[in-house]
Amino acid sequence: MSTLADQAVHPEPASQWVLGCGDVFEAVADDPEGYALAPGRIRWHRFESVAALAPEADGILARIPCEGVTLFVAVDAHALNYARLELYGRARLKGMKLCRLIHRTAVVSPSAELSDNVWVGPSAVIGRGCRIGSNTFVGACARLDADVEIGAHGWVGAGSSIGRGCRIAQHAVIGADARLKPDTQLGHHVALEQPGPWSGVIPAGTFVEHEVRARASLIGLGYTYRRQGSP
Amino acid sequence: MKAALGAAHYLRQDIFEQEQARVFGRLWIFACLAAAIDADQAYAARRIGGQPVLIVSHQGRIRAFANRCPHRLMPLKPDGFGQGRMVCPYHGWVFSEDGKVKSVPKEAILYQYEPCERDELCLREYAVEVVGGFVFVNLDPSPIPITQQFSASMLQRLRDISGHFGKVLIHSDIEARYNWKLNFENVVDPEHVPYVHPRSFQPLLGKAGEDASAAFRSVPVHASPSASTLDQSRFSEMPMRVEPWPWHQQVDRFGPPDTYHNHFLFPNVNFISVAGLIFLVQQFEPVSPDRTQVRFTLCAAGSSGRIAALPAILRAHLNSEVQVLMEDVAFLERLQAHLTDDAPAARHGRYEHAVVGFGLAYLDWMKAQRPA
Repeated sequence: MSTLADQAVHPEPASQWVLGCGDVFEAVADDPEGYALAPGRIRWHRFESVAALAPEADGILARIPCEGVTLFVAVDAHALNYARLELYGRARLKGMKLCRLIHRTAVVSPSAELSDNVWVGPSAVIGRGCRIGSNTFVGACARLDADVEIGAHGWVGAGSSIGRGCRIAQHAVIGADARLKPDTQLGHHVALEQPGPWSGVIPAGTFVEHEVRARASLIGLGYTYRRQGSP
Repeated sequence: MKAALGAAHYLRQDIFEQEQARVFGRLWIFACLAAAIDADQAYAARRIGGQPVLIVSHQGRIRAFANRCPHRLMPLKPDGFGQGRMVCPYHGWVFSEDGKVKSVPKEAILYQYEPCERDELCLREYAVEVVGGFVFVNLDPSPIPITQQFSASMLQRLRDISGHFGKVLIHSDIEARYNWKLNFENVVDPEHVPYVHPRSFQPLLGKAGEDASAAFRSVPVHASPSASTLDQSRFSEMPMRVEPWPWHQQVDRFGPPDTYHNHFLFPNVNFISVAGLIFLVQQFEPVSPDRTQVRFTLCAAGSSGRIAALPAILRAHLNSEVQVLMEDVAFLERLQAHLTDDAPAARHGRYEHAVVGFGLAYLDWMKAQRPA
């Protein structure tokens, strides 16, 4: 089965920038050939910390031409992927073209649809008919079975497995080695850091942390009720 | 000072049951924040004093009912928060907003209640007091005025501060293996902070923490702890180092910056605010003599505009607060596990008048006759 790695950078861009910080940035910087990035054509900017993203983003993006350049934003899952969105969103507003980075050892079905600024790590498997939204990262050795849909600004941790037919809304964080049974549904803003296995419907705004005994839940408009009814 | 309470108050089942009836069954107990049910048919289903209670909002009015269908006692709603009509999921009985039975499927054919029995079928209603953004419930059929439990200044403070609450909350129920009173006694005691929270909470207080202890040290030797119910609920402020973040500029902060606000609401609530930006209600709900459900509800200050990363902000702040709680939990679970029936009473120092006062007020409410 062919991968999409060859298609990710085709046609050849004039130049390519990779911006960010953290584990994904370092993994790409460590192995640019693995992502079909031609070393001579790449420019890198490593932010000193996640806290530096917001104040420095505009200044860095101003140095990058919009025409003839593709950009990739590599920031980990901080703040339910809002940290990465900070940079991604500003680049999109500037009209910049964002690419996908898919490791050559990943196996991606030809019928899968991957949006912009998607990262697929080494040995990940994306099954047939999967749809991965913008700015969503899939870690090394993660497995998405057939017909999985993941919304934008998501994070699928290394070694995790997402069963057939799962539906995952925006701003999800699925921790490393977590397992979602087939047809599991995650609402928006859900973080599952414990391995599970998880099944059924996980409501929007549900957070399950590594060491904590109990889950936390968002309450209020858009989470536990749908409209403001009080006069 | 000898402690007001003995080991039995943290161990015995009969004392626990008496406490449920006389303390939690007769005082105003925090039920939820109003923002949690700020929509028509929004509800909170909680256990209060061991009773299943359903707090519902209908067209702006908040009411509380026993969360039990009068038919076969099925809870109308599972514990938690949500929105929906008051319908029993077991046999489809529908209730109106005043708790009366509105309709019963196939009633005439299947049930055939006598008229007098039919008239009695309703949800039992409990008294509700809404103080700003705080919803209190009283299980007593003839509840005390809330002004007998909280002073006018405390009630006004709750109204003022909750006017700054945002609309989205984050909530977590954490099961802990100790008696609820150990946690309340812990939060009214500032001297444990440098030992239990040396790296999490103490660094944020720094010198301010030492100053707070100094206030306790200045209590005269002859002063007796107050057993008055009103005196068990109070609030204070102290300086706290707060790192600025961009979202702080987008919200309607309460009070001055770099201030830690601390409130105690008798019998089982500690409510704090970090710089008027973040608000946390922690409630210690008794489950059994040696089990407590620690309920955390946290929100940010409100804003006129949308804060994009609000879910992440609330999650991060709750995780920090839970980290501090778990440091207390480790100590208190160990304390509870080593309590025995024959353990001696604690010996309190002068600065612990709040701990002793809490015990004295608690004992007052444990009597058959309500305190005057």
